[in-house]
Amino acid sequence: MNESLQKAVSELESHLPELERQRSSDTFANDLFEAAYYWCELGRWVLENNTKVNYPERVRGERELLVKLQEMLENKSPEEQQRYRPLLNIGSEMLRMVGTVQPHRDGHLGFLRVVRECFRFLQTDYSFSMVDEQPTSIRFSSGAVYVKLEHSRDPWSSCLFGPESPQTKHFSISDLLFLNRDERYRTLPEKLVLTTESEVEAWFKFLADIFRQYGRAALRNQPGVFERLAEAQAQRDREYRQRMERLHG
Amino acid sequence: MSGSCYTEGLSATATTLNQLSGTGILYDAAGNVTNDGNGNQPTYDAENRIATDAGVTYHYDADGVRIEKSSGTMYWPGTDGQTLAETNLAGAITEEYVYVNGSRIARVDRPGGSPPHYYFSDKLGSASVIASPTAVVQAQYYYYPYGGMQSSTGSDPNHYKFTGKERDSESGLDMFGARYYGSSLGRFMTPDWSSMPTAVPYADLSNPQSLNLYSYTKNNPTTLRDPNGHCDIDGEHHNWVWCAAHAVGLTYTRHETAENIRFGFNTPGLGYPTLYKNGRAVDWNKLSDEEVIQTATEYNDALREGRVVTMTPAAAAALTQWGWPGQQSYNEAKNLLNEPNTSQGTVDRRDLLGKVPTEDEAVKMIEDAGGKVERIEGGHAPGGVSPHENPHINYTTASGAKGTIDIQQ
Repeated sequence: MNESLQKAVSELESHLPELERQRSSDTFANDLFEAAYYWCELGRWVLENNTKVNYPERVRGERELLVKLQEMLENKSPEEQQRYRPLLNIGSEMLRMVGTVQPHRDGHLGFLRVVRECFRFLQTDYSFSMVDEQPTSIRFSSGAVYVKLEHSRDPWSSCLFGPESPQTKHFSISDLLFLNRDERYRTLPEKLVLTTESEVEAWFKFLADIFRQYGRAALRNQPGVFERLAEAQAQRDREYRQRMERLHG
Repeated sequence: MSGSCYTEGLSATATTLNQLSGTGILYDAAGNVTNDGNGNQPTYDAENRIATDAGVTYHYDADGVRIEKSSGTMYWPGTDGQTLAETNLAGAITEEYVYVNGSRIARVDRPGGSPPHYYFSDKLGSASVIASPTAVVQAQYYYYPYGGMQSSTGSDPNHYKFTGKERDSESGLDMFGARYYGSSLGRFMTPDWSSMPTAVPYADLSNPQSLNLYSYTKNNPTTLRDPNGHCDIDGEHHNWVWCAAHAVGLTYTRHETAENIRFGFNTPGLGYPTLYKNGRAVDWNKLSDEEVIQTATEYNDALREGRVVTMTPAAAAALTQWGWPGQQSYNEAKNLLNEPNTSQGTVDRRDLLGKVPTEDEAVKMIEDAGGKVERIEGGHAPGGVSPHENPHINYTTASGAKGTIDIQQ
């Protein structure tokens, strides 16, 4: 497939310069440009073996866009139809190929395998269910509380939890540490670059250990626990603001 | 079941303090054995460690690790307190030891660099067989349950025997780190102690044997081993509650804490900064555990007091100046850039928590979240599939979803 996909990407790319010239004066050309640009990205990610992307899901959304663009093209002049139809045909064929690429069962760099193992206790001990699984993220929910783990550059969003509600409030692992007066909240990294399976494993095992240690009340949605976490979060924010104001006025 | 049965000759009554009486064994006021009835009349220092016995004087370091015997041995322990080398009193190495996973597996006699002697131990860690590199058995030891030597063969000078602890030739006592153990008595020479005031150190009230401060492994010697005289881990003395918590990873020793810190600072990608001391980058592997903890504490203190900012001052200041009033709200806003909200699984946002970001803010937030800026654009004419009449940024998230965020004019 790689050869035909590479060919499709190259062909689609060849349309981009012309579309780019026209897009400032032609809204349809702009729509085509933005769509084709992203489809080229999708194709390149497959060729680069990018394991972060859930290709079938991404393609589902793009197919809706493709249908919309095809419908719009039907109302264009015969000349425009002749000019743009090949592009949409290549796009359609490329999305078909990309849509067959299944995400790796273990996720990006083994993320899903690691999280399924490390956070199994959510299901066995707290009756959570896994409600969404992507190559770089997973979401558990008990109905009342959610826990979302993500392979991220940002420690804060790599582990979020909170009550399931329309106005969902997010809490992070540092809130849990701070609430429990665990000084490790001060030493959490500011950036994560987890580029190997062992780094992924080390980080999420660390998160799971903290959850096991301090997470019981939150995971069981005990009365008042999220209010206490919110207060802890607000207090940390106040301290942060004071520090920044002291440093930078 | 076939086998031999041995009867040890000790028969004695005990006082309410579990001190033996009527056997010639004498105790001092602190409960230390001053005469074991077998010829040992040890004296003790202020910390209740044996200071002299059988004509030999013992010296300990600040951590209580024995470092010298006046009879001619100096000990050179590693970070776990295990003896890595022995020298004579002049400092010339006489023995070197090799460990795997905390167990002694070989010894090299110095000087001369003789071939190593390999140690084969039973499940309690007692040296059972010493062999040459060509598998010639050089010594073999058979122990009674409480550590007495039933018999031995060979003439190897090994002096690490029952459960791998050193058996002092001058006294026959085993050095268990915190205390000395008399295998002929099946008891320790001194009562158990704790680093914290407590009525019965390391007591487990579900097991009455633990209330006997002289007993060895709660009198279950064939199953349990006493790593160093009581519940010690990494050379720290803790109660059973702490030990149980440690077993499931809820508490850490100083050594483990230091290892965690080393891991954090040494692992690229975890975001820990490079720290400098006296103009040089800190090499965490070259610092002792205490130095590691001290350095990390200094760093934390500096961070707390605002003396260290690990991001650039401009970026740190921006988090407040750009309108998100603190780290948390910045994170919440940034999170929205990753949150799918359309049928295409993409984000399409006018603002972040009520604020339209500037171009710089938006670029920083996209990149902070691991995404990629594809195009920074002015407004498009109305009528498109996804109209953006205002200046905006097209980007892709870290997981490949596409998104658009409006930016300020």
